[in-house]
Amino acid sequence: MAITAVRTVIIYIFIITAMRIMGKRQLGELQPAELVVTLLISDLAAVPMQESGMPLLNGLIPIMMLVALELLLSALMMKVPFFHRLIGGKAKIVVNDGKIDASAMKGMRLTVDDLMETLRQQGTFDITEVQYAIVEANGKISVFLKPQARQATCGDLNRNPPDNGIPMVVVSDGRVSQWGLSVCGLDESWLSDVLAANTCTVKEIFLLTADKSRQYTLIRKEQCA
Amino acid sequence: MKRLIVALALLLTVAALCAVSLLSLQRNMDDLLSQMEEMEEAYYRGDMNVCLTLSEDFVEEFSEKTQFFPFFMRHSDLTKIEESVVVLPVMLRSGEDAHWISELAKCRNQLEKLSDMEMPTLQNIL
Repeated sequence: MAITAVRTVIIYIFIITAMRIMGKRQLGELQPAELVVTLLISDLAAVPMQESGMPLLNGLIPIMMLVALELLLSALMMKVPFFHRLIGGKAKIVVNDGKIDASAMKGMRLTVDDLMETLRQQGTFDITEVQYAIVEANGKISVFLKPQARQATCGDLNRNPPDNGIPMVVVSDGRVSQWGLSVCGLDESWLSDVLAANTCTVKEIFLLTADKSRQYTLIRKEQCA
Repeated sequence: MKRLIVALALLLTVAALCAVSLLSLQRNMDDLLSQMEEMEEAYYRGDMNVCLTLSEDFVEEFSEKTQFFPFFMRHSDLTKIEESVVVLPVMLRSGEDAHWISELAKCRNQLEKLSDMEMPTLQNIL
């Protein structure tokens, strides 16, 4: 029992480290090779975790090899486009200038129902509104709508709204985020001014967001249910 | 670039671990097998006292030389061999000489197989 518990801790730390080494790509949309590695790692880790009669190294060494090979392969894919296409596949157009490419869909074993489902999930219910639909290498479908179906932008309306930047969390549950402050170009003295204006302390704040224009939203802990 | 260095470091670590495990296995197995030969020679000479002393020493040697084997070998495989090794001096003390030589042969065969199974040969890989 104790052996299994200790092994679980070791393997858990090892896998977290492995995933961190492999980078953010491994945590987002997976390419075919990345999916294979992720599935294999989870499977490899489970065996020595449960079987105390199996050496722990028998589980750790394959994981180390997979991480190393994945890193080498991704480096190779970055340097050599041929490898990128070979291992990662390439995007395919299934709706080309408003016309459905049935042969491309057949080649990917993608049915019209699958296509319609994906379009609906992306908020498009009418296929006649679609100008291009592209099946990406990771299996997701990107949709580009016809001009008349696209949402109007400020540019379309000849409007020029102010650029306030992204609102960042500056205080979260009584803790100051220095990173949030620096992204907005703000500092502790600005925070002190805000606290003084609202007569509260950092500990009393549930959420404080701010942007580059120094506009902020403050929610006190007492305002939360 | 940092990740590439990590990848190469991982590959080197794995290669080093494999090499160390194989070298340690080979060296210790050779020692154990040569000790077994000595025991067998003493048996056929009829020198049972020497045979008993060698058998007792062999039990200690076995546990000492295989102490790191569980890091890279299935524990059940090692336990099986250990079960054969520990009965060798007991058999001699209780006068079961005929059984002793067959147990010794079994033990040697298991050790040789264990050593062979760890070698990265095409047969083992496939």
